[in-house]
Amino acid sequence: MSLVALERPGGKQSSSWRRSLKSRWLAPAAIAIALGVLSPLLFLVLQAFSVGRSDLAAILWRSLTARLLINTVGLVVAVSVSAAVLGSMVAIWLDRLSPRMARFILPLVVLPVAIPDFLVSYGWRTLFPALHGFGAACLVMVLASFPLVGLPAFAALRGMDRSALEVAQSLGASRWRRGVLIFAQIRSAVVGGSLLVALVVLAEYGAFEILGFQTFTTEIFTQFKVGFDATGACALSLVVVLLSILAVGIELPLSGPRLHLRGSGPLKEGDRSRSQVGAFLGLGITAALGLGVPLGAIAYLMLAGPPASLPSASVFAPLWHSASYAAGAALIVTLAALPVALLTRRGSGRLGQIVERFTFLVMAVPGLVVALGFTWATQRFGRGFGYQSAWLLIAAYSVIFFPLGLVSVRASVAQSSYRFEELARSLGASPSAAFRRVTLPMLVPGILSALSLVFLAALTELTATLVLIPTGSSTLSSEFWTFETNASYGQAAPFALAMVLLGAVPTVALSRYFDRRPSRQGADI
Amino acid sequence: MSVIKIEQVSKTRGNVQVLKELSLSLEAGSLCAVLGSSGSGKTTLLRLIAGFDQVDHGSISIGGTVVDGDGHFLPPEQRGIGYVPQDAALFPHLNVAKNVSFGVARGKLAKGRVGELLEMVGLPGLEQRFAHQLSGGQAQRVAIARALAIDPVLVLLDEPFGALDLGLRNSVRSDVLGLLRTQGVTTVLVTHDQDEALSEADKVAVLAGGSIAQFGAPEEVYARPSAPSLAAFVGSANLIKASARNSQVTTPLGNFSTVAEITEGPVLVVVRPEQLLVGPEGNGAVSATVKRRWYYGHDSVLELEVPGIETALIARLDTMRVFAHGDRVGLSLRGPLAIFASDGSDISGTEA
Repeated sequence: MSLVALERPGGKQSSSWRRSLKSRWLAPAAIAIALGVLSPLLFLVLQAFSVGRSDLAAILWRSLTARLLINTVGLVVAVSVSAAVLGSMVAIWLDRLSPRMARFILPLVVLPVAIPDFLVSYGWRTLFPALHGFGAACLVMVLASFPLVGLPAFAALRGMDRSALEVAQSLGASRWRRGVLIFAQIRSAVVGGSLLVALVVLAEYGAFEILGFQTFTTEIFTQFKVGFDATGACALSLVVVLLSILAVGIELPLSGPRLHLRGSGPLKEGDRSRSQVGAFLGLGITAALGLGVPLGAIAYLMLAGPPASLPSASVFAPLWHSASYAAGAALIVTLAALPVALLTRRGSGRLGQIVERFTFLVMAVPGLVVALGFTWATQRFGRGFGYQSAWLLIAAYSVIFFPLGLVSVRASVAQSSYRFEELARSLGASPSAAFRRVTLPMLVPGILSALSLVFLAALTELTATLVLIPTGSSTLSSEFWTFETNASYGQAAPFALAMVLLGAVPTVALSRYFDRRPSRQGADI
Repeated sequence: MSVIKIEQVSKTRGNVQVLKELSLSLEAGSLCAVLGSSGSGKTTLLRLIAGFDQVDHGSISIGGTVVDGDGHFLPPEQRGIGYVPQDAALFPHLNVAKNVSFGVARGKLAKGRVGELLEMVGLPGLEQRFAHQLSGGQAQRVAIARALAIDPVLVLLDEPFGALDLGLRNSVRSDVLGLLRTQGVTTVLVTHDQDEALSEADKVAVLAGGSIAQFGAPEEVYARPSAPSLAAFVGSANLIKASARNSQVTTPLGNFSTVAEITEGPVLVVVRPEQLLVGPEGNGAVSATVKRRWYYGHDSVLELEVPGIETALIARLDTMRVFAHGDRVGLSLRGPLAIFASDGSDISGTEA
């Protein structure tokens, strides 16, 4: 290790006053939080042990498993590859537009990712009732998830070193080789996005149920909710989690080395040699299919569908329930994410990184499996006490959306570099005053962003909600699902509309607001 | 009276001993440049003085009070030391006025004082700006104003001009250092830029091998380096092998008498590029051939091949006479010259 790196204030430090300042509770708190976040995984493993190896094998060694495996893996591969292609193309199209135009178009392309996948499915099936099976599932999931690739790829393109491209051109590189050069710079964004898509597909329940396509996750739900077969659900959950971890494992070598992108910003408007017509056409078709169809279907059902027989109050009661559960989860996630994020910053060396990595592992655990893990734990350790209570549902939301909250908080924490606290102290502030006057204000954007994003995401959660919803209570998604599964598509529409308006739209608006805040970081050059 | 006294300070980072029994003391009101290559421990030293880190061994006193070492440790907030990092590091969530008044208890700093400080650093009227709305030079000046607002006993500048582009650097540097000088603030300037250190500082401390290799006025450090390697680090230098006998040093460029007696044997002579006199062939002690030439307008530098000397010599001369590649020239030496034993050790006080 070079001396220069050691000297950097953010680096490894070990003097005693600093240790004392690095509050003793931070590391234990973060470890406890990590364990809490990973507890559903732990419960799953414990449950599997209690079932025993031979029973698990008997459940899994069936033709059903083989069929589910083919369905699931086939769909995961098809969707993540297609989403990678569509996402990259969308990024390239956006990049070809002028910055102002791109800012204008971006929401149209981003919104689909915030609309719950089961609503996209519902919209397509409403307009095209014949949609069914693998092709339909693939189409819907690609349209619902391509922004997970498109957004980071677009950001990478914008951050790309254009001068490298010009150098390549001056060296006589063909268009093909320049394309390869561009891809090298956005590769880790594309691969990382595709991984998220794969995890989403593995965890999805509602969208496939509507389209009548069977995957591990839909089968787990059926076995648990319809067949009351906790053991079968556990065995299949193990497979899903293993597949998710496998996907994460495949991502690592594919994403390549983390390149340090030295951005030179978007092209000057005059430099755009390629035609923008193709870009507009591509973006227009994508937005029409991904956003227009689901929204159009909901609008159609609201306006022309069978008359909504429900009084408006019935939308507000579920909304109130959804909002209070989501608010609880947002609060818990934000409070829990702070120590973990602070630990990674405070230079506890490896510990912070390890804790953070482990908490991100929960992304590989589908919401359904989280819900089943908590269910099993309440029955195994609490004799059913707490099952289908509001607290358990909030706990499940908190675990499911912890990575979202952590990512939001982390951006701010990274910005509030430790040196600002040092400077504050050289200016006479005590350690606690330095934290209060400098660090905390810098964390506010991250805290607000985590609170609102988790709140809005939890507002539309379906799968874990269906398992854990408190008796006698109903949420937007559970009411929607009740009508949907009973073929009362028209009555489901108001809830769909509410979820889009209250969940999806603000999510996009907020995440863009937080992304675009001036980074005010003349500092870290 | 010395404002700050650093005694025998050692500091280890990881497995690397960054500072080894370093000692240094500074007079009130002086500007001291700590000159060292990157990785020499400059920033570590500054962080110890500021109180961001604690010494392993040794002690640091400020104004006669031990602030670190001997079982004492005064946290940074009680030291009253102004710190200006390389990238200014203005608090991004506060505007310029709030940045400047950060270190002063509310009410104590009359509103006019912020304006006064900003005027002093040449940025009147920028109170409401945020860091991202300032240029690098402006941010650096605000950082200086912020440090001065606490009436510091000492100001630490951690390569504060390195991040600025070349055109801006010189003007910001002379403004800021001139300001600190007129305010009479004791200042430690850490830098790897020898021109900056030599031209601006009252005293230069050369940091090498984890301790202060030489400390003195710029002209002293330049004219009488304490080791041949330092001669090459501070300014450029030709190291010429020679032999000594009685009070005579014999070099391929002529003989010189030393000021003091010298032990017989091989020695190293440090010759600054401007100490080589270049003239037409026939003049001077020996003939040389021009191998390369750099023309700067105000002066020019020649690389010369001299028979009997293995490495090429570097000469700096005015541009009254212009030489070209391949020219034959006459060469002689102009004293005084610093002389070292051939293993590099100091032969104190020896000059030729």
